Amino acid sequence: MNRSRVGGLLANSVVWGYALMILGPTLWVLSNAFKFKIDIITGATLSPFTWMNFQELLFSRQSDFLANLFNSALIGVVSTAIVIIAATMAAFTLAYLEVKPWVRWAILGWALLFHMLPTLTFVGSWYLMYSSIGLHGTYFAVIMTHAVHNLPMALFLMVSFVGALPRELIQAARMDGCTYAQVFWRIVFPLVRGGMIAATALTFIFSWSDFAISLTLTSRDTMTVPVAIATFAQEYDIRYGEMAAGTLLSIMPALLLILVGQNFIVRGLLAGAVK
Amino acid sequence: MSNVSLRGLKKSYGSVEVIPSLDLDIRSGEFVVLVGPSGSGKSTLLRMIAGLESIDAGTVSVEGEDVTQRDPGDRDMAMVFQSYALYPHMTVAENMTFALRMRGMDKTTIGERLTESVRMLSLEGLEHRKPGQLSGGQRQRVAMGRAIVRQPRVFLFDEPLSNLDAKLRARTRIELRELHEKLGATSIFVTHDQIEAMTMADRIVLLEKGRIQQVGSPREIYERPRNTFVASFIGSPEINMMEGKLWFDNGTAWFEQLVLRSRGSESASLAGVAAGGYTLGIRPEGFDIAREPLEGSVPMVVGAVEYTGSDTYAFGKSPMGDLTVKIAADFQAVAETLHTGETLHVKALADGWHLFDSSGERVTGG
Amino acid sequence: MAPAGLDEKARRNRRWVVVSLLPVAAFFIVLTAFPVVNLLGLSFFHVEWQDGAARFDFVGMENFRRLFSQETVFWAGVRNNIVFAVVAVSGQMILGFSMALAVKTAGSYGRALLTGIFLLPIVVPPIVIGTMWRLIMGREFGLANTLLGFFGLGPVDWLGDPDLALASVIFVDIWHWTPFVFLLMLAGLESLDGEVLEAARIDTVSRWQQIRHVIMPMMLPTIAITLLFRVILSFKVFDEVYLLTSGGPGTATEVVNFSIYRTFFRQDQVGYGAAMSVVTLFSISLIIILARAFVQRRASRREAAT
Repeated sequence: MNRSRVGGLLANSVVWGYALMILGPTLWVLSNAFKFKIDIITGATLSPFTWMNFQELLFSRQSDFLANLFNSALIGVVSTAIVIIAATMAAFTLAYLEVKPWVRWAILGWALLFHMLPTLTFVGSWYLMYSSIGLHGTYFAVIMTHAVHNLPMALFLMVSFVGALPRELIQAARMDGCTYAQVFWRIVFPLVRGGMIAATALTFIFSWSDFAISLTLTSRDTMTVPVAIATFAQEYDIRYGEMAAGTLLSIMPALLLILVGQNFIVRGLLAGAVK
Repeated sequence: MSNVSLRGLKKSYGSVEVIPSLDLDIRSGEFVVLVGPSGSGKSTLLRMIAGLESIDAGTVSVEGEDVTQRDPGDRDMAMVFQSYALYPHMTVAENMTFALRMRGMDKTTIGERLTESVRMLSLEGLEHRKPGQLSGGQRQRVAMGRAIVRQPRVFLFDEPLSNLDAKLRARTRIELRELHEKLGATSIFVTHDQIEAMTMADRIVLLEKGRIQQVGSPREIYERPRNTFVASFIGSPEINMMEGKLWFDNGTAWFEQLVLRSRGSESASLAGVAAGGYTLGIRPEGFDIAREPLEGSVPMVVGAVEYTGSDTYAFGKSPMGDLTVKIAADFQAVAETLHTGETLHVKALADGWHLFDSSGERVTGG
Repeated sequence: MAPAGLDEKARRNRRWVVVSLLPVAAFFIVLTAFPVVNLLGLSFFHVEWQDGAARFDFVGMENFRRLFSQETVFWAGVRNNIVFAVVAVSGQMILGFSMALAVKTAGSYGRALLTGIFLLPIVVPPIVIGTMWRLIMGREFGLANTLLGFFGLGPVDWLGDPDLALASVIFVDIWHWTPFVFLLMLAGLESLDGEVLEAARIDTVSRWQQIRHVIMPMMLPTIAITLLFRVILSFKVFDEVYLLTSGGPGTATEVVNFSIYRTFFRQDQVGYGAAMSVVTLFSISLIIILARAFVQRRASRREAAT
């Protein structure tokens, strides 16, 4: 009894130790956002508090960070909306309706393959495609590419959520006189709202976090937050404070999501991973 | 109220033939039960009639009208599902009126039909609840109500009682039957439960491997099973099946050591049946029991005695194999003192037996 | 319910099937299938930029010949990717599974808080993780060296020392993805049949026996799938490496993705970059298809056994 108790405490402390390993460095880095540069460089633990980094980052004339935030939000919202609508409609059809087996196989199989292939192998081709039709650097190009990039995950999530509905429910609606479209809008859509929220949140987060696509397909006007942060870090004279401030702002959506929708994300991540 | 007729229905999944080719006529206003073990294709057949499963060949017609190519929603059939399939995001009233609203029926008619069905199923006061707030029995009634408001030509039931507990199931069985008497609509009811089939059906259709084994009233099916499968499937405890030789001696028919007798001209006739190898079926209640050997009886060493309240059954070994024997009411006194290891002597009651040939088809019997 | 209306309904239903699948199909064809074809084509050309326009010269297999005979950086990347996959993924699996077992045993104090913290690395932009660890592992003012300084050790050049850089990057990746494995494993453990576990507690004499003879075999499918998933996804690594080391020093932390990026975007060798992409694409596709076949064969064998 006693031994297992000690073992339990030990086991717990390992897990909580890991949690501390996550939290500690994160908080340390984020704390830099509220420090003066001199204090960051000298590694002062107790240092005066300042909002200066945020002011510099958001409102100084050399910084485009506000525009970057806007770009990230716009690209995230629009691409997520496209992805979720496309994925949910397709998921319903693939899960319940009579589709030729090869169509189902091709869509889901290709989605799986594309999901696992390194994004970087596609980026060059996208760049050339968009350049050749004059769309490079436009919102349209970035939004479409973010959408296709996140489509497989959203599709798997929605297939698993939509597929979890009882088949008899769909059949009952068919008996009651619904066409496929009516079954979708009146029965499936209201019932998978929870799943759609989870998929929406995850898709938005992944669009918001994307670096590889945004790095190669955005221009100065459409640059997103991650690319901006990377640019900070690449400058010769690294502006640590502003970088930390930018980092802090960039993780806000993720933090918000963890606070309000923890269970949703866990379910979503698991559903996406097991496929 | 319409007759339904199925002609040459076929269905396969890939290389697996679920329904090889099936013909069936269901009369107007009839309550037909499709019964069979799992995998017999009964649910598939029901869904083919409903239009939910595609049909490889053959036709489904209602009142002579071919509906094979019709959308499930346009066949004027209503279905009660095993899981009830109530729309969780709609209230009871919304669930029940959904089909009517989808057909653009006017509000007053919808209201009238709803009120009527709610009353008929004693769902008063539950109209604005969601399915999640109802008990299993209430949900089942809502599912019924959803079908009833439509006043369809045909009702389809897919094991609608299997999710109820035993007590409620027995009561619902009777309610459903009463409802059928009141509405008089053609009903097709699928179940794997032979008691449901026996108690509810006007006619039973017994399916196995997608083939109809026998169609008939419960009494016909029980008393004159067409083959060994039907005889074994219907009846609980199961019928005793014995393989052996039929032989004749001075006009007396013997099956191994058992004498087979008939009561009169109306009953089983062994005239013209050749001696040889057959399968004999005797239901547990088809035996006469004695303490002492009788002519044409076999001894049975009792292995176990089961007392169910109304009946007592003895299980044991005989030279003709394992036997299940119902102990008749006038033998109850003996039943109370019956011990494991004791020997009883059993003989077949006149007309209490069924004779099947080597391919399992009925030859003759009580 | 006239026959005309019936046709209308069937027609609408057919239209829905097409319309509902069209967006997904269009996205995949235009933006994923076409690029693969495009890359395949480009890999046979030498592409030169002149006055903002591209000039294509057909060179046959030249790009591939060069890739397989003269290239060194790309293959260093392949080697690093494999080391990365083996070391980082084993680290994540062992740590993640042990911690999941621990939590399962120990009962969960503050489970929601714990899950929240473990989700952090998964949902935070990878570039932020790169930034963070670049600051922590920085030679001059990094937290790591500051801490070492307290013990009179260091400073260590975590990211600049060719012998240490890959290990540092792998460490960050383990830090990044262990929580994900942990959550997957925990969900797997929680979905095991409780009665079987209770039976195991009665039948075994030690916790180790339970883990070794009951839990591990039951968890094997989850472990196998997570493992394959992580191995394949480890070839996607780019963001952190971009920020932490950019592949340096030398080729110490070069990864395939970075080679492709550099060839395409920094050196403008489009044809050659396309050849690299094609080789990578097909190799990883092959791994995925083999892995998939392996998982499916196991699954069907399992089904056949039960």
